[in-house]
Amino acid sequence: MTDKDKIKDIPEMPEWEKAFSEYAKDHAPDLMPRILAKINQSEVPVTRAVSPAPDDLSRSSAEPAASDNTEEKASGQRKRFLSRLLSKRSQRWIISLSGAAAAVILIGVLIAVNSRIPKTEDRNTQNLRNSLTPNVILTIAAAPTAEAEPKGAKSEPAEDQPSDNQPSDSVNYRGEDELGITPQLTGLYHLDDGTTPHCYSIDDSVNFKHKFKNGTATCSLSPSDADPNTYLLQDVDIAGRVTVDGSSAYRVTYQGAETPLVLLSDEDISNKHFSSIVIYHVGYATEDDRSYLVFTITESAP
Amino acid sequence: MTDLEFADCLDAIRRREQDGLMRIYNEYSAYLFQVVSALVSQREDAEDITADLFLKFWESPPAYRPGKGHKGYLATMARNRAIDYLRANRRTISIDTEEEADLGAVPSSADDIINEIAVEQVLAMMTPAEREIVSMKHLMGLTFREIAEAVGKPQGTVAWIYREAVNKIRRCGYDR
Repeated sequence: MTDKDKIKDIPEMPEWEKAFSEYAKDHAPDLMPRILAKINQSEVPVTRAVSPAPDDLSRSSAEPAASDNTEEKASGQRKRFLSRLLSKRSQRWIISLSGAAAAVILIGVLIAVNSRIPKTEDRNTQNLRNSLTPNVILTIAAAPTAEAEPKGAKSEPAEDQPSDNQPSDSVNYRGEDELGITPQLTGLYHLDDGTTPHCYSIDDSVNFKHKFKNGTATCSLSPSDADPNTYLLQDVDIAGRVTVDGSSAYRVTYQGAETPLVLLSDEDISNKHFSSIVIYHVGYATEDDRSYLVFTITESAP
Repeated sequence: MTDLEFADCLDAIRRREQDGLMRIYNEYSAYLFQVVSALVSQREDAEDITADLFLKFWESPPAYRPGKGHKGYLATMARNRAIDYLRANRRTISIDTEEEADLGAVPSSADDIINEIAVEQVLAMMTPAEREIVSMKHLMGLTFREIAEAVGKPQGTVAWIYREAVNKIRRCGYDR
């Protein structure tokens, strides 16, 4: 049986067709007023669609349908149509605007909260600035044999601010060493808070640890067995060191302001003897705005 | 309404004469509404789509050539608009006959009540595809070929769907 045969085989249903047609006509909505209202609205220039007031809407819906005035009837139908149209659109607009407003408020709150929280880097930098002693953090020097007034600007803060922890009998002055450099202080001063120096006896091995902006400097400093006047700097590990030409290096200077800076690597500075070591932080006056430690080192005589 | 009369109505619309639109509306609005209702579940949505269909006629009258079958043309337009609406609103294609019954006109006599209940019972048993094809066939008077073109299905498939619908109609007491 072909499709045509199947189609021919389908019986006609006049009774049903009539019933269905009547049903469709009975249940057909009266759309013409709405269509005419829309047509009139689109053809009459309207600058702005204004939603009718609730009173107007209730009045128009309460008006009898059998009004003789066709214009009023059309106006009421138009209002009903507009109110229905606008209510649907209004719902969509309200939902959209509510979502947008909520998003804007949320973003604003997030921005406000974020602005009140100090950034970690800034806070660390501020703490570092507060804790740093600009000139002297660590000072160790070969002890002179004869007593002498300590001199040198870098040692003054340590002397000017004696601490109760500073053992006075551990300070020994040994005079100028063979390199002709006048040692400044005997002892290791660690001004961890910038105001109170702590003094360590040079007779002991000292593990030095200092936190600074870009990391932590650690090293072990101990009197040399071969030469009691020299000190062995070991296990140097300084993070955040100055980077020169892509390789890390310590900025090391021999004691003395006029002495040019010498850049040393880990190998240069480790396991060597120094008669005078001054380690201090110089702050942020660097080309790359990075803090670093300056080792003022007086190398022991070979 | 013949094809020529339909074309005349379109010409009247182009001349911005509302009478042309009224004639098409009076002839087909009820049937087109049923076609749309077969696809759209909510009666209000079906009303909107049907009204928009006639507004579309008014705003941009189609360039219709007489002889191609304006009923199928109208049914296709109504169906496409309903499908566009469904795609835009992500609605499922289903028929809510209860709502239609609530919003329907009040029957005037006992026979009308019985008739209406019977029709609604039949429509409730039909699938959307069956109701769509039955509406096109029985209300719009389309041929199977025209229906097949309108719904984009093979003619045999349309006939098969229609046969299934007729069986349901028969089971509800409509033998003829």
